[in-house]
Amino acid sequence: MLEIKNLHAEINGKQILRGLDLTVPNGEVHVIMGPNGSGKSTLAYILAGKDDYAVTEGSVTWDGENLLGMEPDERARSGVFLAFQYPIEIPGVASMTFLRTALNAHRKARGDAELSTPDFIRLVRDKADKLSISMDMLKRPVNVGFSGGEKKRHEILQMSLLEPSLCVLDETDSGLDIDAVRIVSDGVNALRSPARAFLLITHYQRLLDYIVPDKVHVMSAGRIVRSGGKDLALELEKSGYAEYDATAA
Amino acid sequence: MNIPALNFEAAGEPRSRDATAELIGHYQRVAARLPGADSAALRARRDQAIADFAIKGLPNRRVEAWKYTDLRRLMSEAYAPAGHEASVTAAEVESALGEAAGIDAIKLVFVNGGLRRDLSSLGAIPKGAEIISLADALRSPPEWLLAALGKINPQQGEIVTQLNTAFMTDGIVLRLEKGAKLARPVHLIHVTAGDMPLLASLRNVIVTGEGVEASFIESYVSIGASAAQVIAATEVRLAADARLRHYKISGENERAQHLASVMVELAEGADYLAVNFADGMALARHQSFLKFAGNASRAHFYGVQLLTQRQHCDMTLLINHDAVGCESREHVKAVLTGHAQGVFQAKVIVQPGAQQTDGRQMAQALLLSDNAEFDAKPELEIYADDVKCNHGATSGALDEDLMFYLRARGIPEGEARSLLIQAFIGEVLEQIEHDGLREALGNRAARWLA
Repeated sequence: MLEIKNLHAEINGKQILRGLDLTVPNGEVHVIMGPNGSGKSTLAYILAGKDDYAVTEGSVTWDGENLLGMEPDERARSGVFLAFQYPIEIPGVASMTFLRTALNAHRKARGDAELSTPDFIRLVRDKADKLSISMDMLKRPVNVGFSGGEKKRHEILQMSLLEPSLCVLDETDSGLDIDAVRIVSDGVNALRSPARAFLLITHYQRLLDYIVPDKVHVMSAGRIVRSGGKDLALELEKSGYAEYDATAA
Repeated sequence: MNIPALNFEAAGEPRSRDATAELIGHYQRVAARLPGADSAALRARRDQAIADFAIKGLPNRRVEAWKYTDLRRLMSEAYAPAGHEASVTAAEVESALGEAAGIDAIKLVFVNGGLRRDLSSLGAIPKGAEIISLADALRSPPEWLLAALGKINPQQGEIVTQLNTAFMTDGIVLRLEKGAKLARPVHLIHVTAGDMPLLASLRNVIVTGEGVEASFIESYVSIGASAAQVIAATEVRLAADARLRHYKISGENERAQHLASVMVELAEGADYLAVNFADGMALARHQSFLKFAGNASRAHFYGVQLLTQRQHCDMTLLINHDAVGCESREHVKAVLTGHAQGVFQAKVIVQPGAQQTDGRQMAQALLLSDNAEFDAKPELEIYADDVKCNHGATSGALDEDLMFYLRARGIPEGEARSLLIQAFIGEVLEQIEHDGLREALGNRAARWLA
């Protein structure tokens, strides 16, 4: 279970999160929606451990462990996964090398032996197929020359390989056409399990036609200002965020 | 012998009199014993070289080309030229070479500046190729060699070549006939060994006919921890459409000092690729002088510097475009830790009439410590109006966003850093066309990073 209590955070002295409370139990999919600048991506980065942000108050625990005290790679090996809004290109690092290094780091942390090369390739091929990612694409350096949609699918591929227990998806649906949204959603749905919690950040209700959430939260000015069931997303789609922007002001 | 009096005070500026005087003194002692001492023509050349050297001596940082590599300060003494063979076994050479030992090649092993036939494996010399030891060749130098030696793209007043000409004891003379294609690289392996500091000088001469294809690998290693000074010079004359791949691995021990000059002249359509990998040595100065003498020729130089502690590595190039439509590339990547200093200097001269010249230079350094230093001095001197030339240089720390992405996938910090540094130098290592060598150096870089 992810428990965020009274979280305050700032970047370069600018307050972004102002007392955010959020609980996501295992097995549930929660969605955060809200206007631009409300702090959604900041929350995602803080969960993953990006050190540009300073947490000034509050706590974040994952399965009872203090997440804020852990390095980004420790968090990842403890089960936290952030699907980036803008996956970064890493020239010179082959995708397969990257995937293998990441997977082996996880296996090592769990006390498992490294996978043999054929086993690894088989595993990647199997998962990549389901996300319509070609092995040719994975011959390229990480995200280099990938289209926007390919980058997002590559994030989901990493997620399905690493099998995290807390999945944070930061606008994974933005910039995707409808087919890609379906592919990505299928990937996410395949990973849904009682042991796994999801936190989806999105602007659009559209994604929720494919991934049906347990709860929807509205974020504004660095706090959760409203929570509800999946119908809240439909309501937001109609009414927009104007009301919440006002709250921010 | 015409050697000016050693009157340093008269020269007007302070100099590291010790090393300069020691070098001249060493020469006077060994000159009569050097290979080819019986050849008056050769002896005259050696004498002239040391006399030319004596005029200015070792350069200090006030000499523009040596601004970042102050030899007077860095080379405070000159070791005695190696006199006797050290006992070195094939297994020791192999272990010093590491993975590069496994490369299938025509191998010539030199120990302290002298060819060791027992350690070399020439195998079948391919048709159209002639490989001889310089020491043998100098005993009665053939006309063609005398015509080439010191005459390929000569550099006026260049002290590394001067010293090498004075002290050269051995090296590879490689002559390739028109159309010769070497399936295996020629691998020069130079080993310094023994308990005494020593000076060794190797001179290589490569002269090709038209359309030749060959690869030449130079490996410099040490056995043991003794200090050594190596002065190497290589002259390359590529005939029309000849293609040479020239790789150098500079991996001597942390006390070694290494000065090298490579002089290359390219005829029409010739294609020269150099990749210089340096992770050893206390002090290294690698100079390359490239001259485009024929149209539509091409020369690429790539360098990797992996330096730690107080290592100093300088890659300096002078590229002379004196023909139409030629292409030059220089790209050096340095990874520096501790108090290491990396230097890249490249001057591209485009002569009047050298139209459609395409020249690009790039130097990039990763500074992994606050005390590391990288000096980049790219220069363009253009006297033609239809050319495409540019240069750039960057230096900085590892990209934090890239680090975060890798770590967010569970990759520990050290491994993430290593992946990124390998990616950084990978761009240069990829230029190595020999699969085995590329892999060997990739692994070597990975071990350096670990």
